[in-house]
Amino acid sequence: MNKDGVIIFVEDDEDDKDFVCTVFDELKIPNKIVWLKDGEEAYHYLNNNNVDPFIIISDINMPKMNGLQLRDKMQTDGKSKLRAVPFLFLTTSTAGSSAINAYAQSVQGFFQKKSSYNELKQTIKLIYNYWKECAEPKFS
Amino acid sequence: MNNAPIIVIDDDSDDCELFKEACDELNVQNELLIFNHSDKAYEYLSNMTKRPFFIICDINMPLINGLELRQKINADEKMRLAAVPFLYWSTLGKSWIINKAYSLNVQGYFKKPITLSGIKAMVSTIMQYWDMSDHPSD
Repeated sequence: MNKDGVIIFVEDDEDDKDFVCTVFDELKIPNKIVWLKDGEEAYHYLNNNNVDPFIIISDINMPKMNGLQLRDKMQTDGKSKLRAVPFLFLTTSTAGSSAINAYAQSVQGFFQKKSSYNELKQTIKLIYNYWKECAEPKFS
Repeated sequence: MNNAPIIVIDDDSDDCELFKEACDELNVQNELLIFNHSDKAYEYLSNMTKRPFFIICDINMPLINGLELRQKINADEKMRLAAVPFLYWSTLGKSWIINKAYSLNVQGYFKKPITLSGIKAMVSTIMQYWDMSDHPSD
C-alpha cells in the first residue's frame, strides 16, 4: 500500500463509474484514479505494470472475471507485494453468499454501492480516511 | 451501530485502560472484552457464540505475539470463515513488522496514538468503517 499511490477502481458499469469518480473529485482526493472495466483488465494492469496502489476498490458482478475471481487470482497468482494492498468491494450485491466468499478471502471491506449521492460520498470518504490513517507497508 | 462485543488483546494494562476510557467518552455501547494474553483470546474465539464487531490486537506480547495469533486464527477454518475484522494497534513501526502484518490479511494496522484524544479519533474511525461494511451473516 502506498498512500500516495493510485486508487484502482474496477467497475464494468460506466454510469456507476462516472458517479463514483464525481465523488472522488468532489472530495478532492489527490490520488490518481485508475479505472479498469473488469477483473481481467484489472489483473493484467496490476501484474504487468510497476504499480504501487493505495487501495483497490472493486465491483463484484462483472463480465470475464468477476470481483471475487479477481481477488482470488490476486492472492494466488498475483505479485506478492500487491497482496498487501487493501482490497475492498463496492457493490450492489447484498451480503449473503457473495459476502461469505469475500470474507473467506479476507478482504478489507464490503460496501454497498449507495444510490444516494450523499451516502456514496460518505462511504468513499470513510474508506479513504480509514486507510489514510493506517500504517503503510513498504516493500522494496 | 453494530452492537456486538469488541475484542481488545493487549498485555499493557495502561493501554487497555486508555482504550476503555476512549470508548466511555465516545459513549460506545458495545461490550469490551479485554484479554491480556493471546491464548485466552484464542480460547474465547474458539468458543464464541456471537461474532464480535472487531478484534483490535497488540503485536508485542509475551508467549504468543499478535502476528502469531493472527496466523493461528487464519489456520482455523471456522475462525477464518467467521471473518471477524482483525486490526492491529501497535507502537511498533518497523517496516518488516508492518509488512508481515499486512501479509497476514489483516483489516487494518494503526500506530497506537499517544493521547486519549488520538485513541478516541482512532476508535471512532474504526467503528464507523466496520459498521458501514457488510458482513456475511448480515
